[in-house]
Amino acid sequence: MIKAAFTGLVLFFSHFIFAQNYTISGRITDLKSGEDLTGATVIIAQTNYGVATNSYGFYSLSVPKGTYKILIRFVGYEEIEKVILLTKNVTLNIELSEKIKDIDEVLISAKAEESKVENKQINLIKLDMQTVRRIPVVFGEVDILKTVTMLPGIISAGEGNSGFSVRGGTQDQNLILLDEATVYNVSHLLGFFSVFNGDAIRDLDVYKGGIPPQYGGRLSSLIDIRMKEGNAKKFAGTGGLGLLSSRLTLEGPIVKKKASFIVSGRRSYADVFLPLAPNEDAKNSQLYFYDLNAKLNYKLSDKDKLFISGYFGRDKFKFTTLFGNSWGNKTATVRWNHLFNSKLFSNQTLIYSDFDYYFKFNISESNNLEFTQGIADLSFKSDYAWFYNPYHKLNFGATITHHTFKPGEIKPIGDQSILKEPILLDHRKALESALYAEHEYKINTRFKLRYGLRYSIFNNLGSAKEYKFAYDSIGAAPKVVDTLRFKENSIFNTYSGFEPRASLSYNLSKTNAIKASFSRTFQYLQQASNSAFALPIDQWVPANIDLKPQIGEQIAIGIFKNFDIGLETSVELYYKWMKNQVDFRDNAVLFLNDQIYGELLTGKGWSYGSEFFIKKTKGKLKGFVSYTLSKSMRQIEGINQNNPYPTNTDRRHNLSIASSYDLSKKWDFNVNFILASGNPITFPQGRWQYDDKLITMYGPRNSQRFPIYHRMDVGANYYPNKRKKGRLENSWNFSVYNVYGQKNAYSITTGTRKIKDADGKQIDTGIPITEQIALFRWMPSITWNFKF
Amino acid sequence: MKKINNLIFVLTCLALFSCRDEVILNLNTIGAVLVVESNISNDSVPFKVKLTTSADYYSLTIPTIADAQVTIMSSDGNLDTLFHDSAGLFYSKAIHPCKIGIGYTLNIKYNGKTYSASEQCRPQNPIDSLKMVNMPKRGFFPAGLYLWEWAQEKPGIGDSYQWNIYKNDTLLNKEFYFINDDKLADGYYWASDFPFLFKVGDKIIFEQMAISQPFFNFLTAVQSQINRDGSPFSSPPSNINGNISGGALGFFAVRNTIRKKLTVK
Repeated sequence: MIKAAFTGLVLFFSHFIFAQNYTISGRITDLKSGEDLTGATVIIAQTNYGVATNSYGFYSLSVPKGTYKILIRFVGYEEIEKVILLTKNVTLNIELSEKIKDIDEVLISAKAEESKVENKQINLIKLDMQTVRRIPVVFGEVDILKTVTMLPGIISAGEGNSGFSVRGGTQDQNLILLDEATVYNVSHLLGFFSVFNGDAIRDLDVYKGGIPPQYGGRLSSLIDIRMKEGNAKKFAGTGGLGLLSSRLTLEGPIVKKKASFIVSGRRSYADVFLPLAPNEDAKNSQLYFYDLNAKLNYKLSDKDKLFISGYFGRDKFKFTTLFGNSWGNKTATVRWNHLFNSKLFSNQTLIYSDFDYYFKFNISESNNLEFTQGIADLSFKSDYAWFYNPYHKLNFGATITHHTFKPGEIKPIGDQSILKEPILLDHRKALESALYAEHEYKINTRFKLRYGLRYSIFNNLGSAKEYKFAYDSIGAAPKVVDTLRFKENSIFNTYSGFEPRASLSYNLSKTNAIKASFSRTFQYLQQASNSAFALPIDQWVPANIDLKPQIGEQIAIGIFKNFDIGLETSVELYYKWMKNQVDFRDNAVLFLNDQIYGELLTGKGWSYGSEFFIKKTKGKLKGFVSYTLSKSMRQIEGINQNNPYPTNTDRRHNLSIASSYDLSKKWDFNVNFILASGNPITFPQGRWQYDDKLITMYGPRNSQRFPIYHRMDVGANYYPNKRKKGRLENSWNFSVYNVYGQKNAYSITTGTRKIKDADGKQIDTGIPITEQIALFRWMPSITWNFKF
Repeated sequence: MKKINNLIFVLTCLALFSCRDEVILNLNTIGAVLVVESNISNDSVPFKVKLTTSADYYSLTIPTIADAQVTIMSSDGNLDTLFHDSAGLFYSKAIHPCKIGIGYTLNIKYNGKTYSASEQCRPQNPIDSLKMVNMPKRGFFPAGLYLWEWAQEKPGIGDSYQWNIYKNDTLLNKEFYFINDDKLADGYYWASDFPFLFKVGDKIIFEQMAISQPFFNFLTAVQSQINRDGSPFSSPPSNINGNISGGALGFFAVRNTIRKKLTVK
């Protein structure tokens, strides 16, 4: 035993003790566009050791003096081989050119590297836009989040909704980053579209657990989305015309090989037809969204690169002069990449993120108001990666975020309003900071270890007015027993904690690997949402003296097996424990309530499941099958008579099949199929009467279910002049969502039967009924896409 | 707010060719539970209490109760035993209009169980004036004569009110409650209009009732449940609890009412 430990120790240190090490480092870019290539591999042929480029195309390899044959490989690009006589540190920047053979063949061979079992990470799924584009969606709008919901362990919040749940977590437990900036609301048109424009996105990583220590603040997942950088060599454009919206992207160099830009815009135009409506009210209404992505990057020197990116999106809904409603995100990221030396890479990032929601109603002279609420963040991150040698890599850094929560402000419209003065609920302010370090260690060709620690701190800042509550019983209406006031910029409450993260990977053979992970995460803010769907009105509330942070722990184990015929398979099992899960007492008052903490109840949650994934990457027929068997529960004192209940995101079975078939160079066809258990729901179990009004009695929470959900979508892409140089490349996308017209329950509503009498007047019969609403049957769409 | 969300929801659904079908659900059932309603006020009428029970969701009738013992005791020393008249309605023999500051306690013995509840008679806000105002067309509301009320709200948070408006002896707000508390307008001089169109010759009865905060919360919950249709944007279903101990539903409420009559000229 001692001997084994000693051998292990020697082996460990031997990796640090190279006689004299030199470093080969540089950036790998696309020859045509000059864009950085993420995930390209640089391999020393003799040892078969290699590294992958980071999100900025940077790599660093430290090896002893010698002559090396170096291979540079990337998805869909020609492989490059270089022989280097290494007697000093070398900078090797490489431009890779795209293969010009049939693109499908290219994808297969190039993806082989990425899909090797040893390169796969447990809990992580990488998605590129090519995969996303092939999946038919409602209205034909390319939607990364809808694709995410087809992956194992992830379920959609509901039909036509951008919200999703990861391994039984809630929607506000997903950290969604766009170029490092938190996006607080991902829905356009109440969720029928996501805020991410497919044309502006380069790729995304979906972590279902085992989130790297660099990130934190959410329990369930990290969706790390990166915008394209823009073509650094020539001016180019892409765009599309769809039934509901259109988009245009322009990119090009500003200073050749030094600076480039990309601007991508999108707008829906359903409202363009509203003025044609016969109804006067519809004519005076609005319903649309737009968004704009922009990014600029500038190479200051060989060692410095600057990126500035931003997103601006808005939804507007107006019904005559009576109601108005508008919301949107704004984000901005300024990032400076700096190479201290060939081994130490750094990123300094300044981030701004803002979400706001506005509504007004103006029913009469006295009955009117305007309302705004929101959240704004300003963050700074300092991240470092130290490429010590091919076996050891160290990531470390720090981050700090200043949050401003704006729970609400209401203003009267005109001086006749019953509301005489504006009412402003106090802003809440907080600092969220963290330090982290992580060691990536390749012990040998079979063993890989990644472990790290994040230490996060959350401070509530003054000025603030906080309440202490008392309750007659748990779940009863709160009574304020004390009001505490805190001075401007004082820290009046602090939470902190260690968040260990670790993953281990063991290659049983070249095609077979077993991986495991553990992670602990803290979440200091949550969305006060008491409906199944997240709405823009749902405000974000921070932890404070009345509310402890959420803490989650997750273990996962996975087995990965690849088959030569182009099949990749995996099985992952997970178990999650969650503390301080927030729910609301019965009949909670959430809107414009400065005592909202009195309405919250906390308890524990747990979820577990198994995920099966089969992906076919070779041949004319490609695609994946994903199946999840899972359970997600909560137990909160004061809810459901203190008994455990299934969460809104609990689904026992969830099967997704995505397939595509390449018929010819001009045509490909796609078919999706989804089969899932129905959402849990609390159905009525009785009724009583008060003041001649019928009131419903409910049974245990979420004790019954919607009917089983299933749906098939079909799509086809047509490329009239595929890959002809110098011409406007264009393609047509045709799709039908829910092709066999299944009536899936979007909601089941309760009410009374209404009939029409002889004069056509509606009469309420008072007979209780239940009705099912189904959306989206046989939804066709056509989109024309172009590229120049 | 919920209405706005529902409106957006409905419009969006219509725009998206949704379809709606009546479905019969296989529902679990709960045993019958006692339900209490009361009419205790400063009016010179007997106390009235209505007792019913809950029923299965799809059931078409609400059972009424006749065999209960019902008493109301006031803190100024009156004890009234109520008698059953018909259809679950119990009345007091004597007439004791409620007085400000006096507490009233309801006791019910039914089926071997005891239920009780207490409420106080709350002070009123004097109405400054009630007037008909000729208004132009506003959104959903056509041009015409509308009722306006001017009143000074009492300083001090914690007052709640309920209004009923009758036109020619028909309650106009039968489908919903007009209720408000003073959280956003404590101590202000109120000017409120009511969204009903009147014409010359209409006889209006205007009732303003001072109610307790728990009763206001109860009516708010009832109102929000009536509006709740089970759409994904609705709040989670909650059972509504009143102020009656012993596991009964409903509310024992005391209302201090001001009533004004006017004829539209």
